[in-house]
Amino acid sequence: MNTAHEELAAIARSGAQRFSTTALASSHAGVTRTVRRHRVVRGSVTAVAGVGIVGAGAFGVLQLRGADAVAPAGTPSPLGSVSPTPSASPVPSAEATQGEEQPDAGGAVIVEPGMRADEVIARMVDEYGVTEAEAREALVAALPSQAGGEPEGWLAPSDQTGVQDVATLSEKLVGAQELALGEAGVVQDQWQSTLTIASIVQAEAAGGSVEDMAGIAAVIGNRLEQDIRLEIESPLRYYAAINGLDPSDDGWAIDTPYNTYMYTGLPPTAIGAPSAEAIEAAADPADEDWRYYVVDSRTGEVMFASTFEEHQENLVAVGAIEQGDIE
Amino acid sequence: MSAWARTLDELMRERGAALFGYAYVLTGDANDAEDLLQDALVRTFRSGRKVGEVTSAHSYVKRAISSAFVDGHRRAQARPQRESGEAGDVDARPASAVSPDPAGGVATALDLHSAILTLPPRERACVVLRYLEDLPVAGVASELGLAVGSVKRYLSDGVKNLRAVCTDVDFTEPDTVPVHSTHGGTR
Repeated sequence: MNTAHEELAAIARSGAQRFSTTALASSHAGVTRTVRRHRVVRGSVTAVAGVGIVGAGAFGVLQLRGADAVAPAGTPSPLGSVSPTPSASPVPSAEATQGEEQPDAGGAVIVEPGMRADEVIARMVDEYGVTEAEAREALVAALPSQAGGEPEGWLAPSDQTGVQDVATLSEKLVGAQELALGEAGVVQDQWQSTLTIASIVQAEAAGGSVEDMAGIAAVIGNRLEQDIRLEIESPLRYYAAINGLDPSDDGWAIDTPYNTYMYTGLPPTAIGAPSAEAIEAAADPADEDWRYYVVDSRTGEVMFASTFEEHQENLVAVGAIEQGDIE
Repeated sequence: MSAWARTLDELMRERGAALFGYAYVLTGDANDAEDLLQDALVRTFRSGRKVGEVTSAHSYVKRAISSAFVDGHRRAQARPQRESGEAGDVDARPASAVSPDPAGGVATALDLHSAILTLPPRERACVVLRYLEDLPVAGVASELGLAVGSVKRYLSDGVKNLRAVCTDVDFTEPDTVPVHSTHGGTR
């Protein structure tokens, strides 16, 4: 005679064997999505709002505020001379290359849009056998003064194959980014802020169209102009990734100027490598009064709104909240 | 990916089948078990409470399965999706009758399952928690948010019915604390 426990356990086992035939076994993405939606609504409805940038006047001030709080990223000098003809040529600097071993055929470093500087440095270490410090030094040496010694955002997404050494590679990466800034018509004292905005646009609109990017840039600009916190997630994710933190639910409480839910203004540095399209969008945002956006995770479509009420409707449309959550 | 999503992935990869099996004992139907498990997962992870590692998440989800099951039946009574009398997988084909299994143990398990599925939801949940999970009566009560006295009555009624049908299953209490007389219910 079996005990009830044994019998029930046998039923559970036979049931467990059928699990593999269920849809849930092959994907629980629906659960993840529903949970995320609940959590978003629980945290704050504006958590999905986006931010935007630009506004030449307010820019230097915001950037300086960020730099005060953190340290010295790329603080553009508001007093710096505005050159109408931005230089497209990189500033060569070869010091950093001395004493490095040089692989015969050169290395191959591919910078993808949105990639962080530390990821690029890791690839340089792999490809050229240099130390992290040497790689960073080479990048910093190639930076223009506007960067304030911080390479983040200044490394153009590109495929650099067969480059002889890290100094040349650094010049090519930074030079291409300067060229993109020049082609977008950005004046030099706005290079850093434009790159920062562009890097956020890149992170938020990954895979999106040029119009989406220009729209998100408009949201960022409008929010900065109106002194509204950006409330964009990607800078916080950047900070968490750089510092090995877990951007879980506690992430919203991380006290850092990269936390745009906590601090007004742009983060102190760019948050990745913006593509030329993102730079173009940051330099020339859509002429709209949008202050919110949400990305439909199912289609990738970005929906913009000028008022919170419209934004809520968009949130319902993308399934981030239910109609009943409004009011 | 945030911490909870990683835990959820790992949980589904390592414990998905076990959790599904547990839900299956309660529902007796694969589709219902899937719905129930899904519901329990959302309940567990949406709250923002720390679910911790896989093992603690596993027990949270189990608890959520039991309570979602009882709650779900409360809702289902208001909006039944299945005709009463129309049954799920197990009832639909009482395997002991259709395919007499020479391995007597298997047939018994199916019989027991069919019998359990005839119990009202609360009795069913109490029996499963008490006999499968080996929870003490007080533990069953807190899992389901019921009074200890109610649990004793549900267990007593449920087991009495099961004993009558499944004569070859030993329903001796899994631990030494007696909750009811072995001879007939407390009523």
